Amino acid sequence: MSHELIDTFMNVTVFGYIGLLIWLALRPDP
Amino acid sequence: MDGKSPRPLLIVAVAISAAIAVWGIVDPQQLGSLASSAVTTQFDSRGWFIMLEASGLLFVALFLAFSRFGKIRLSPEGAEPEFSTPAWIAMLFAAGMGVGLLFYGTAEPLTHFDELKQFSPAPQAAAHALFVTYLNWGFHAWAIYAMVGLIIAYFAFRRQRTLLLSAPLTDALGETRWTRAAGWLFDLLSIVAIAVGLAGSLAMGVFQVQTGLAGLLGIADPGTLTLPVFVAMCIAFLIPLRRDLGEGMAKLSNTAMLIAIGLMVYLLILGPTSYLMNGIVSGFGRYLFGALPAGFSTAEFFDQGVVNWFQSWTLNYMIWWLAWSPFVGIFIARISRGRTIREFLAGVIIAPTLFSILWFGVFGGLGFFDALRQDGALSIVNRENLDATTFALLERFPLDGLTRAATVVAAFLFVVTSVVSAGFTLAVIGTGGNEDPSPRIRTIWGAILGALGLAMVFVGDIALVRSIIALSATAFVFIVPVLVLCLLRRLRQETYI
Repeated sequence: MSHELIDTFMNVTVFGYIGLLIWLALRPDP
Repeated sequence: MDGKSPRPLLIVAVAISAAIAVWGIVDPQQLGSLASSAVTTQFDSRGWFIMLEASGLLFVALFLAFSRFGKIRLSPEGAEPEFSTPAWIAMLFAAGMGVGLLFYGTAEPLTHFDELKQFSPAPQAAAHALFVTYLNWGFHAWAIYAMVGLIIAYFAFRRQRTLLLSAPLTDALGETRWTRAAGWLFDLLSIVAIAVGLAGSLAMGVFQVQTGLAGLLGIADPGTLTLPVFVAMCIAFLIPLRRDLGEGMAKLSNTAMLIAIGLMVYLLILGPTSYLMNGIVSGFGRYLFGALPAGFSTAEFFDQGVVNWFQSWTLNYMIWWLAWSPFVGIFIARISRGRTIREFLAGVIIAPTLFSILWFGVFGGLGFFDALRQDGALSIVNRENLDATTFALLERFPLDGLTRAATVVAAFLFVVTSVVSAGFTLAVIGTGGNEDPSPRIRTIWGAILGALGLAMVFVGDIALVRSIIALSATAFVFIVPVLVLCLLRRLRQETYI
């Protein structure tokens, strides 16, 4: 895999993770 | 349960840690180079996120300290702090101290100075070198420890859960299959990060002690002392892990701290005192007003050389603090029962940072004095062998036999007391929060820490050891924000009720 592809993948996982954090923050209380 | 049917967490954690140790002992170079390349990829692509997170944690800590949440006590209603404030502050200093300070006191500022003087005149390079050292060891480092410690303390003492990292998840997000599974993974990863992080500390201690001893005994090659020093350290930490010597260990840790403080005061008084104090005061001012913006720096517009330097120091430190945060966090939490959130954050972030400022101001300042006002011999030693810098500095002062021996003793004690404490903490986490784990389980962890330490010693190169620690802590970049979210959710609910 080229360096650019790995770089994009690593960053996209971080964006996804930030999305998860936002979802967790907005979820109603259990 | 303890000693009869070991939990799956304990078995898996022991297996993973032992596997890393075996790999490191059989093929240390492969482990080191693999860790190094994985960490470089991580830093290249996610450096911005790591710096953002370190700054974010500092901002959340500031917000909590100044908001209405600051009044919440880390205990059930009405319970007062367990320790007096001076005793508590002294214990925080002890948490902040360690073999790292002895190792890097002069070496780190001088290394930065060497790098920075390629770009700016020597006086500015020295000022900036001290600033970068303060950035690496200051508010951000302690905000990481403080936030993890606060989360552990809040859920353990206020919410009456365990001291484990899984407690916030299930408490704040509910007991579901997903939170239990994620919590289990968090506990497992914290065990691996603590074990590898402390093994790195053990290796650093071995390097420091062997270099110091070789100098004292007139042995040309410190490498010949590696095995005896390592074995002596293992014996010294396995005995207290087998028997319960809590009080004695606290005394040994205090002795090491007093030796370190004594050394600092000795060098400040016998060295160029006003030069050092000038450096400390101006460095402190520059750091105080520059720390927040510098926390967001990513060395983005510089050439590869500067980027590598930034990654191998500042970024590596931020990951390093994350690697040790479960261990230091549990220690800080245990001594802080009954403090308010405001007191906790102020104490944990400010007291050790002030100590770092003094420490690097004295040790780094002496390095700059040598480079700018004297022959610059220390810089040459530093370039050749980081382990030897502290000892080369001490040789320039009277009674150097005594001070070098004291440094060796302090390094030895710091490592032994940290490993004993880590062995205990690992046993607590591995048994699901049992606060009194059996000597057998404590000894197993001691042996694993010893084996991992041996692997790190075999790796040999301190830069590779740092990469291995960084790799073991990668998961914490993603775990800590989730824990912070759990804390904020619970705090918001608590103040609504």
